[in-house]
Amino acid sequence: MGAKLHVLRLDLPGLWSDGWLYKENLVLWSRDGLPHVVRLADLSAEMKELGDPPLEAVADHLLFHTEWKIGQQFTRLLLIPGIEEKFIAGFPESGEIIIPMDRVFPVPVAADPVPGVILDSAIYANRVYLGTIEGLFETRFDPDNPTSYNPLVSRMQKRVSAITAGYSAVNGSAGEDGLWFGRMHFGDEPWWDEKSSFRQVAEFSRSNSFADVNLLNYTGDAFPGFLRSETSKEKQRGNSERDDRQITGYRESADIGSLMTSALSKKRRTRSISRGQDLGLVNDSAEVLGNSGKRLLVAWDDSLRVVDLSMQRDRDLAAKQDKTFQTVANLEIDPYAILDTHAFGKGFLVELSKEVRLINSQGSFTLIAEPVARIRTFARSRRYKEVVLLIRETGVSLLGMYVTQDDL
Amino acid sequence: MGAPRDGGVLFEACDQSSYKSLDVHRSTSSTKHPKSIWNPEVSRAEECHTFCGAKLQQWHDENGDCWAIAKDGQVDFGTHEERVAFFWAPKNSADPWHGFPVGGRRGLSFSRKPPDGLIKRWHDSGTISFEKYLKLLQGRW
Repeated sequence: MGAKLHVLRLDLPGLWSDGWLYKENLVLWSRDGLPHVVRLADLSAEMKELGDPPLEAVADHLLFHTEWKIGQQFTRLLLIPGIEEKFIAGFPESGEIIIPMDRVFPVPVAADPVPGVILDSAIYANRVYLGTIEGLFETRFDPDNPTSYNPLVSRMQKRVSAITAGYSAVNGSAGEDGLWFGRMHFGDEPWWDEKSSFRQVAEFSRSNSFADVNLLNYTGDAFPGFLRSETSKEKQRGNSERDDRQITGYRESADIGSLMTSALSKKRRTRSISRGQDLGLVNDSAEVLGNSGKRLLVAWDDSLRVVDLSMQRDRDLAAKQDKTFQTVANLEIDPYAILDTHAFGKGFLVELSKEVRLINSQGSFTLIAEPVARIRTFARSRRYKEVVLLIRETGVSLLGMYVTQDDL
Repeated sequence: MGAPRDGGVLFEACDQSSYKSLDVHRSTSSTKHPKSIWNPEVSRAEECHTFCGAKLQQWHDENGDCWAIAKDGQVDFGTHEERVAFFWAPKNSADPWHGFPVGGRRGLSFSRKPPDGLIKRWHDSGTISFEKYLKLLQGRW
């Protein structure tokens, strides 16, 4: 018997367009662009109503505090024989517990509806960025007063299909209009009066993703462009929601094609390139499908591979195949049937036309056997690092999971 | 339906137009260049019906080209699960239309996306679900 996935799923009904988990709140956007909020405490209270304390504890670890699940204390506790068996004892043979949250009602936020269909969103440091077919918009979210009014400000009038926010920077992919980068301002002046500071950093961009503090720009070519960031460091006070490192700009996009194909061709041998070197070689049989931080999921000779980028500051960029993902090449997943990928924990979620799968070093598992409208993961979050939010046709689902090894 | 000729099968289509089901989009051996290929389960006649359905519903883009999708994208038009078909408008009105399956995801030999306005029409008219609507807008299909 192989590794087994256990999934705890909370289902909220409603016609939603997008959602985020942010500081003890579930933020949802309706299909007409209006934000709503559910306090996670309300979901937790609803769980309590079920009168099943062991299930509440499981929910705490798998949904509300995934940092507990991946933390040292829990890992150590699992060394005691019988603990893991007890932890998963409430899961049926199917491995899935689904709990309807029909009595939890998202509360509308006093806000203006965002124009156009939301294509992507990001929340960082209480700033909310929404990329729609009509532009890039910014608003704020106060986690302590989540329904309070905040204005919606247009930052860019271009179709923005992908947004990343982090390190006090926001990056927006606008297709043929390019990749745009803006710095966040944390001054005392009214934020809605701030002048938009976006500037183009690449000529074409379908999507973008952080690889540590650097950025990968996906263009539709086999390999994403690698934009090494320029950063400054500013010590944050107290429990700041901001990173100490702040991105101040990006260097010119580098082609990682030859680096990747070398790493794929020569097993277990690290290849490196000098900064500024032309990396132009492209091999048609390899294509990067997505990344989970510095870990890249690659289609190679009709199977999957995982390649890790190594990019210490002021050192050469290097790439090597990830030994912990050696079995990924044996998975029966057609790389070109993958619609999209998402960073999840130390692995990936891959979206196929009829299911969503988890791929990690333990194997590949069906997370949900139906097509979904949107998948959201929170790789840069502390609490929700291993939670998946799915926007479905008639509801939204929060999924937490736990994988057991062979002999349980 | 006429006899095969000039690299395809010619149909008298709808709305006083003609349609040619091209051989190069029916078999990979028919061309040296990578082309998207119609799913063998979609017959040449159904290919023409798909075109007519799109044309009669005026699923045009600003260039006058036509796009088609089955009810909620349930038909794989192409051999790589392409759910949308694209039909070039002929430069001369006497020439036949022709078309082929298209997808939006990476790795497809012919990737292109219908215009946002047309995708919205498909959604608003109930042709596609919200799930398909978002996927088409984002190129995840």
